[in-house]
Amino acid sequence: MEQVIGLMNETGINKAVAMTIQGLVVDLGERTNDEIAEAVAKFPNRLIGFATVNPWTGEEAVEEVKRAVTRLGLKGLKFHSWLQGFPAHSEILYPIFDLAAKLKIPATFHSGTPPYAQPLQIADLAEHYPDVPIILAHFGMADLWVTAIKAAKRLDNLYLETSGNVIAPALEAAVREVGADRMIFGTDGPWGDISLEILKVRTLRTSDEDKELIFWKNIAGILNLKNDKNDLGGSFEAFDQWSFRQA
Amino acid sequence: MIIDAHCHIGRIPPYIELKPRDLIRIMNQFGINKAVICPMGRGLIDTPRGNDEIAAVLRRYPDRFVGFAGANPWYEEEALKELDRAVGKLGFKGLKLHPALQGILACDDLVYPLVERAIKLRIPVYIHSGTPPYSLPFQIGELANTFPEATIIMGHFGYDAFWTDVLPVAKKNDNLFLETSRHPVNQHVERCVEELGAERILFGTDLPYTNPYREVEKIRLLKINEEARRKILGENMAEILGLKE
Repeated sequence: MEQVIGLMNETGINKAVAMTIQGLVVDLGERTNDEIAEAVAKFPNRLIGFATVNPWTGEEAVEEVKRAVTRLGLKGLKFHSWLQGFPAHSEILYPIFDLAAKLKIPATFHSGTPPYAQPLQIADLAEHYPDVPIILAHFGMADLWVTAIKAAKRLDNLYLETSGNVIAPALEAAVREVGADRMIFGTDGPWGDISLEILKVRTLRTSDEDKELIFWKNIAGILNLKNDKNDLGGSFEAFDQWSFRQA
Repeated sequence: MIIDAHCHIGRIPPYIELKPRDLIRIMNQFGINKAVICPMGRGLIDTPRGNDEIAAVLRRYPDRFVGFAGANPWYEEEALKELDRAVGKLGFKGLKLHPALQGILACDDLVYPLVERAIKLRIPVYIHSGTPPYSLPFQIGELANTFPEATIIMGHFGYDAFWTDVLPVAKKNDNLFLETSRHPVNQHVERCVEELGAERILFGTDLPYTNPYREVEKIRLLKINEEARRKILGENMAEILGLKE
């Protein structure tokens, strides 16, 4: 975690949403979300936690969401239907999303990997839960980004998260056809290189206002983060100093 | 009447081959009156040649075969002309798309003009399903959703890894029909009969890729009533194609 905070400091990232890695593929029980909560507790101004549950466990998963949100203070859900082994639109998610709608929390999904993590499957879920903000991480990646954009045009609770999507026209099309107000910056660290992910959004051909939306305003709105000028935003100077120093 | 909604004539070396004579023989063995044949492999890329080959077979066996024409969306205007030619001059009765083989997303904007043309020509569109990343049920559903007037046949019922996508998307788009070849889960087909109605399901073999015994027996084993079975075996397709008994 200290490493992450260090990187955030270098690159000018104020806050980050932290999620499990191991918990996607191993049943760690309550440890999955306990660990996230511990990291957040260490750096409460810098980290926000998302919970992961295994929807195959039925009632257990619903109870764990309740615990993660109301006891541990985690602020959203993270699913990886490819690694966790279920189709993203599966009805096994419904009891969890009934609760998510009640708790008013968003959910993010890895997207772009068939068979189980297709943007259109996630969109099908989003259609069933119009009040839950659903984030398409990597919004379909290299092969399926077109379907992510088509779906996001139809459904206004879908958000397109930028990490891991290397297709420049995809990001340009997302701004143009869906709108910067439904795009969310992410790094997918440690898989993604934090600085390259920032550079990608920083160099988008659109206004600085749009970039502020993408870099922090949208996610701050979804997560109800306080709009404290010292707390949020204003990271461009740090990043520009850092990145142009490399060049 | 029993109609095979989808099979092929032709040859893809080294493993795949079916001659018209042999297809007729198989059809006679299983009591299949008519089969919808379409180009495969190269014939879906070089579509004028592929369609000409199928047209020659249609001329030889006009009461046994119905043709679905290949058109390659990448060729834009030329593809539209080819579809016009296939339907207007060569007597084809449907459009066959294979997004995975043709290397284009099933719901890509480049596919739209062909679907629009199919609507104008009043022909159904058969689309291979089950091969990622581009030939997937939800993508075909997206296309069906964009063109509610089109009759879109999802070939192979989602095939295998994507079967869970099929019912949700077919429920939302009642212009989507599900063709049975290759698909292994009879319980799923039964559930679709229950929830969508037998009218939405079409029997097909996908010869020569499959074992005809298996594809035919599959339908016989379905736990559905005989009226539903008759619809699936041919009445639905006859209605789509405007064929009389």
